[in-house]
Amino acid sequence: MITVGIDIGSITTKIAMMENKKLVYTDLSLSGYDMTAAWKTIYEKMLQKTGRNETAVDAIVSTGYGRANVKIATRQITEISCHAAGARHFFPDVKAVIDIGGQDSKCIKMDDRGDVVDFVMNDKCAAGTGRFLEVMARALHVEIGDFAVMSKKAKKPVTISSMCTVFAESEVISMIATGESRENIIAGIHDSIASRMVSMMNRTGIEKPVVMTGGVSKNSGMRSAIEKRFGVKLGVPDEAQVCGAIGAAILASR
Amino acid sequence: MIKLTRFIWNNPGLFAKGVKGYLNQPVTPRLAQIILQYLNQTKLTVLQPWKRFGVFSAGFPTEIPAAMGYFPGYPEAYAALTGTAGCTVPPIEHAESLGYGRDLCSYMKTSIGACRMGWPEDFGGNRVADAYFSANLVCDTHLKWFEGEARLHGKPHFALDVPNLVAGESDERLEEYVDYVEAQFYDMIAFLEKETGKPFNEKKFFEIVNDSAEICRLFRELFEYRKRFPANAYFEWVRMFMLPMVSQWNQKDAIRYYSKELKKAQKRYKDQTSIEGGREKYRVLWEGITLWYNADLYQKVLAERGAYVVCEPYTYSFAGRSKPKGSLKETLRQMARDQIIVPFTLNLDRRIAYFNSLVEAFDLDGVILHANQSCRPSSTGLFDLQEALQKKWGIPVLMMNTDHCDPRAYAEGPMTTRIDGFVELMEAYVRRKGEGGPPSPENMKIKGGV
Ligand code: SF4
Repeated sequence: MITVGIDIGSITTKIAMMENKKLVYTDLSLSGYDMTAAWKTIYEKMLQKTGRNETAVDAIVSTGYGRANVKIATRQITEISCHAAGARHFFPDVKAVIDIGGQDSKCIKMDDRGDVVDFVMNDKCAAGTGRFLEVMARALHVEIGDFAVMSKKAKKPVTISSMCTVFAESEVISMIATGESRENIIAGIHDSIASRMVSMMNRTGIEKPVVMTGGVSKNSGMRSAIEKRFGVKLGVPDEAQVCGAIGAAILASR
Repeated sequence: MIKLTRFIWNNPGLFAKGVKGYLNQPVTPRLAQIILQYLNQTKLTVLQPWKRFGVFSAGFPTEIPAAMGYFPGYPEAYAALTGTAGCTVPPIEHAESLGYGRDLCSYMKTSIGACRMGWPEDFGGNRVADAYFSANLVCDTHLKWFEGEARLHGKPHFALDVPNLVAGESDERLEEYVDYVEAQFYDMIAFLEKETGKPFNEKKFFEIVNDSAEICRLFRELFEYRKRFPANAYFEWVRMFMLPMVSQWNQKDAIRYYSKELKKAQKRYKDQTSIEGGREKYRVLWEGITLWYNADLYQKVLAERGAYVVCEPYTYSFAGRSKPKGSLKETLRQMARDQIIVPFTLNLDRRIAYFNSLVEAFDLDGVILHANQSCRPSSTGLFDLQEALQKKWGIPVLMMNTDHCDPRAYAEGPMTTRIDGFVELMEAYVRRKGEGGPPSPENMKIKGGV
């Protein structure tokens, strides 16, 4: 059985193909303005690369904010269930998933069988999301990919007290003005996101093992800030950023 | 009428939007007639100088001033209706431009903004009152809001102070609170006698109390039919349907109307629990104030997913008025008790017990808790409530961060994802319930990644 999962997020569109429960293909591209064009492009590329015909695909599940754009989807499922299913694919014992996406972050609680029992998502502010990191990277004139390395060089991480992205940005700018090092500021930024995540994790009352999915999980500085605050080692799948699409492809076979 | 004409002239686009919003509500011609009559009567009091126009906060015991001839004007009701019309943003923004903070009550800002802009009652404003009456049974916003209005217009203000019953308080303490509120009722009577120059009309008072108790009784009986399958009514209807009860205006007509509706329900169900159509796919409880500007959330977003709000303590909270007792004193004491014990303001212990009873009585599959951005009083304790419900039932609970009257606080995309996630949890919960087993957190766990 061939199933496909398409995860259209606010920043990137991800795709995954499973064949008889084996992951055979993943890809991602920017979602951009035209989400339909974005998924169609990577969908066609996937068919080409895997040498499959469209008729060979048995089921498609779409997920993410743009899920309604995938008209050919057999079903639409939220990224909550998809990330949980994706995380379980890589870590069969997983009890909780944290996912920091472009425009939201979530904590998903699962039971012994890997079934979703509860979830908490951030409130409407972008603070605590990937977008927050992007805004900060811009304010600091640093590539977001360098955040991990730089935060590790921090001698004395600053405290970001603002709970709102816009105010936090002003706070960062005033820190730059006072000569604070970028390393310390970046470590402080990670810490402020981690503190939000940990309060969400506490609200759901999640248990270990905890898996982190989503693009931000690639940032080892961010990961260690959460690990330090929550006191757990986070599992990160190889394909963390496409985990939602993988979960969607898994659920498509049910 | 002049105000409305001026409003239409100055804001043709907004008026058209408002009419569209009103038409999007699931109201019958009879209910529309009642609503319009209420709004028009508010305006007509200007032409009837022998009548007195009172401005009241929600839940105020209007029976006492009404007995002295005060018409019950409710800025919150006007703001709510403006919300259904989808027109609250301009008055809210106007109020904010006057210095009212973004996190202050959006009813208050709608009302203040609309009043300052000279908008009619249909769009949130209201004429200057002969007297302002506030009760802080739910929150203190009413007190400062009405105090400010009264001062601005040079009118009298009667502030009723209702203590909150916090967790663990004894029955003796409750009785002391009742004494305290009762004493204020006598103060209110003295205030009204001074204002009107007439002695308190006890006969009229008893008649009004009797009618308001009857209205509430009918409403409560109708509420019971929402336990049936399918429920007799859903939130989007009940939130409009409660206006005659909330306003307590034209009571005889409200009794006629509710009696007729009750007869319809009795005929519809007879003594059957389930009738044609059967049980809803998902039966949901909504805690907190409704999203006035978003009828589609109930009629489309939730309904399309098979979820219906069959119970909400919010509307039921207005149905707690009791029958008159043998004497004025006893009746006032009962009214005081009714002011203090309201489902909407229950302390956490009582609230959890109350919700547990609702989960069973209404056979619920999910609970939506409205964490209201500008109404913190109604949002307090929600996390504890969520935790208690999940612990006991394993029932899916959705915490919805938005606002009752300010559509700027509702972000459709993120909200739809949360609702879809909630529906997925309910799907598994219902499946699990169908597999049998007592409702404990252990065996009510949700199955399937979907
Ligand atoms: S803050 Fe809440 S309780 Fe207080 S007046 Fe506003 S809506 Fe009512």
